[in-house]
Amino acid sequence: MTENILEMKNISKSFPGVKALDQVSFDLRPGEIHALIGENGAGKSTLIKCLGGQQMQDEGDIYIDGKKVEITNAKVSRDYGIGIIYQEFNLVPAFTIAENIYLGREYKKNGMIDRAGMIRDADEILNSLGQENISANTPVFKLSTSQQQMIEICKAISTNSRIVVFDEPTAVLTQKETELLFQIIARLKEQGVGIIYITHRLDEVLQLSDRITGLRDGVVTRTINNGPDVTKDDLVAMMVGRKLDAYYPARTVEPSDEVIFEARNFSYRRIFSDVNIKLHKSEILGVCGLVGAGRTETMKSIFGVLPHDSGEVFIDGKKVEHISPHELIKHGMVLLPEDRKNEGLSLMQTAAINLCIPNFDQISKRGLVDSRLRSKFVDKFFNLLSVRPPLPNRLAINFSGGNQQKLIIAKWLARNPRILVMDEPTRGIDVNAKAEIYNIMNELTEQGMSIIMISSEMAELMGVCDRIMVMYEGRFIDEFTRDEFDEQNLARAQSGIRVHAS
Amino acid sequence: MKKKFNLFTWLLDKRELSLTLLILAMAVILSFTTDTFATRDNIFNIFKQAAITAVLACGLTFIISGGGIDLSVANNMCLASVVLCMVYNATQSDILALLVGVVLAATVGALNGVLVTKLGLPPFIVTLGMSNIASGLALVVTKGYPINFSNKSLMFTVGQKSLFGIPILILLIPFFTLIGQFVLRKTVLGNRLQACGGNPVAASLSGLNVANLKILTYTIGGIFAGFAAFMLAGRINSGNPSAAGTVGMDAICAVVVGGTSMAGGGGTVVGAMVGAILMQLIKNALIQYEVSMYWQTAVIGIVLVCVCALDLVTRKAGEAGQK
Repeated sequence: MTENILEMKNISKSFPGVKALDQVSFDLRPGEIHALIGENGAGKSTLIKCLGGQQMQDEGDIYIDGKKVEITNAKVSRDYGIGIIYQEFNLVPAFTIAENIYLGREYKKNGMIDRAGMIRDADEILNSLGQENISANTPVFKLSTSQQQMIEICKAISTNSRIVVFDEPTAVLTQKETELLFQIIARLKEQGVGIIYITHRLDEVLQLSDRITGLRDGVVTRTINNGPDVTKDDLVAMMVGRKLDAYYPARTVEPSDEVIFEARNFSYRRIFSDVNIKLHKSEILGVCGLVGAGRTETMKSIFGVLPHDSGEVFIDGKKVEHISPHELIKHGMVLLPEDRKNEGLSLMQTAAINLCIPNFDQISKRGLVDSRLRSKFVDKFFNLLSVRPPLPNRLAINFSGGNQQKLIIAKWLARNPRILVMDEPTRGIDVNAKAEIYNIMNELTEQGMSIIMISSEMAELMGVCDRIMVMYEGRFIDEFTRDEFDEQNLARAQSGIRVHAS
Repeated sequence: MKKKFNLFTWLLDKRELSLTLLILAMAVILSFTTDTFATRDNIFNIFKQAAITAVLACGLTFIISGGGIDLSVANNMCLASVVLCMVYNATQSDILALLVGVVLAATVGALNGVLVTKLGLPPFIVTLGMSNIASGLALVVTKGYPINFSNKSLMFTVGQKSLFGIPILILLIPFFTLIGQFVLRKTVLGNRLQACGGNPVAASLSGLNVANLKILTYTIGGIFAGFAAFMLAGRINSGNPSAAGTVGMDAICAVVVGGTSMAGGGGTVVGAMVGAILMQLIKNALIQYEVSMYWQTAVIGIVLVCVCALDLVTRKAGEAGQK
C-alpha cells in the first residue's frame, strides 16, 4: 500500500445557518484518481476551497506527505503542490496565455520580466497537451471556453503540482475535448500525480476513477473502490437520502386540465435545446436538475431576460408576440429570480419602497404618490404574507432571508399575476420560513395561480409539487407525476438516466 | 482555424499605431488647408500644451489599468505645484522643491489607494472628494493668489527654455512615457499591477496582494502628478491654485482613447501619451478652422464617447465571432 499524498482528517466547516462540512475525512494516493460525488450543496466545493486556501476549515487537519500543514491562502496551497482547476476560470482576460500561466511567479531577466522565456515554456506545456495550434502569446479573451480551461490545466502542470483537483471539468467541453482531457488526466496519473475528480457525470466516474467518495449534506456517506461490479445505482445511493428538514403542507387543490402557459421548442446555443413546458391552472410544477443543467437559463430565456435562438410562448392558448419581461408581465407572468439579493430586491432601500417599485400606479393619483393609499397598500401586503418584523420602513437588507423572499413575492402579487416562476425560492432560508413559503405557494394555487418552481432540493420538490420535470444537459429528459415521485429515480434522471421511455 | 482578417478590429487592436496614423493624417490635412498649422511655433505649442496632460495620463494609465479611477490627479498636481513654489521661495532649492512636490502628490495618491482598498470606498467618490480637498487646500495655502518665483530657477528653465532647439517640456513627454512604459510592461511589478485590474480574483489566487498593489497604482499616479506639478509651475511661471482646468478630464480621455479599458487590465502608457497629443491636436484643429473655442470641451467629450462605443461594439462583434 502506497503512502497517502494527501490526507484530510475530520474537516468541519460551518457557515451561518448551515454546517457545510461535518467531520469529513478524505485521502488521496499518488497516481490515483479519486472521484468526489454528491448533489448540489453536498459540500464538495467547500472541501476543495479548504484545500485551495480560499477558506479555512473550522476543525480538522490537513496532512501532505504525512506532515500536518496549515493552508492559509492560495499561495501556500500552490507551494504545497496543489493545483486546482475551478469551475469558474480565474484568468486575466487581457493577458496572454503565458502571462496568465506564470502570474505571480513571473520569469525575470536582468530585473525585467522575461516574456520571451515565459512564452517559450508555456508553448512547450501547450504542446505537451496537444495544443500545438495555440500560441502562448495569444490574449486569453480570444480563446474559447474549452481552451481557457486548457490554460487552467497548464497552470496546474506548470507548478509541478502533485495534487490536481478537477472541479466539473467536462461541463464546458465537447466530446472530443473531453477525450483529450481524459488522455491528459491519464498522463498525469502515470506521472504519479494524485487527482481529485469532481463531477456530476456518473459515466465519467465509473470510467476514470480508482476510488469514489460520496458526500451528502456535508457528511461522507461511503468511500469505495471502483471496479466492474460498481454500478450507477450504487453511486446514486451514495448521494441521495437527504434528511427531510421541513414541513410540507398538504396540497389542497387539484390542478385543472386547462393549460394556462406553454413554452414550445426553446433553444439557445448549446445551453439548452428543445425545451417544451406545459403548465396547468393551479398546478405547482417542479423543475429539477443539477447545477449547470440549464434550469435558470431556460426560465430566464422564456421570460425574455436572456436571448433565445428559437421558441414560442403561449398564454391561455394565445401566442405571445414579442417575448420580453415587459410583455410577459402584462400577460400576468412574473419571475422571482434565484439571486434575490442582487436581482430581486433593492437592499439599501426600505421594505415599503421595495414593495412599491413595480406598483406605483396603485398608490398614486395624477402622477403623485398618495401617502394614504401607499400605507394602506404596504400594510395589506405585510399582513397578507405576515412579513416580520412588521416594520415597513426598515431597510430590506435588515430582514431575514425568508422575509426578504416574502417581500419579493408580495411585490409581484400586487400585480395580480397568474403565472409565477420561482427560482430556488427557499435557498438559504431557515426551516420555519421555508414552511411558510410552501404554505403561501399552496394558498396561491388555491386562488387559481399556477407556479413553476426551480429547486435543487429534491425533497422540497417532492413535498410541494404536483409534477416534476427533470433537466439534464439543457434538455428535459424525464417527467414524474406526484404518484411516481421517488428520490432514487429523480436522482437517476438528474444524472442522465431516463426512467420513463421517451 | 483561420480567422478572417478585419482591418477595422486590427486597427483598434494596434491602438498606438492607428492613433499615430490618425494624427499624421490630420496633420497632413491641416497643413494643406490652413496657413497657420504647419509652423514651428504652432507645432511646438501643441506639444507643449500636451506635455502636462501626457505626464498625468502616464500615471493614470497605472491606476485605470489597475482597475481604478482617479479624478483627483489634476488638483493633486495643482496643490503640489503651489507647495513646491512655496518651498522653492523659502529655500531657493529646486531639488528640494521637486522632492517635496513629488512626495506630497504621491502621499495624496497613496491616501486615495488606502481609502479605496482598506475601507472599500468606491474610487469615484474617494477621488472626487480628494480632488476637492486638494483644490481647497491649494487655495487655503495661497489665499487664492498665484505664487511667483525667480526666473533663475530650474522650474523656469524646464517650463520656458529649449534644449537642442526643442522646448524642454516637449522633450519630457518621451522621457516620462518611456519610464512609464518600461515600468508597466517590462517589470514584474507592472505586470502584476495590470493583473489586479484585469481579474482581481485570479490575481489573489495567484498569491498577489491585490490591495497593496492597488494602493501602489494610486501612488504611482501621484508621483507622475508630482513631476507634472513641477512642469506646470515652470510653464505658467507661477504656482497657481486654480490652474487645473480641464486637464484632469483630458488626461482620463487620453488614457481611454489610448486603449486602456475602464474595466482594467490592458493598456499601454505609449497609448495614453499618443492619446494626449491627439486631444491637443483636435483642440488645435478647431482653432485653426476658427471654430469657437467653447466647442473644444464638447468635441473632446464626443471623441471619448465615440471611442468607448467603438470599443464595445468591436469587442461584442469579436465575442460573437468566436462561438
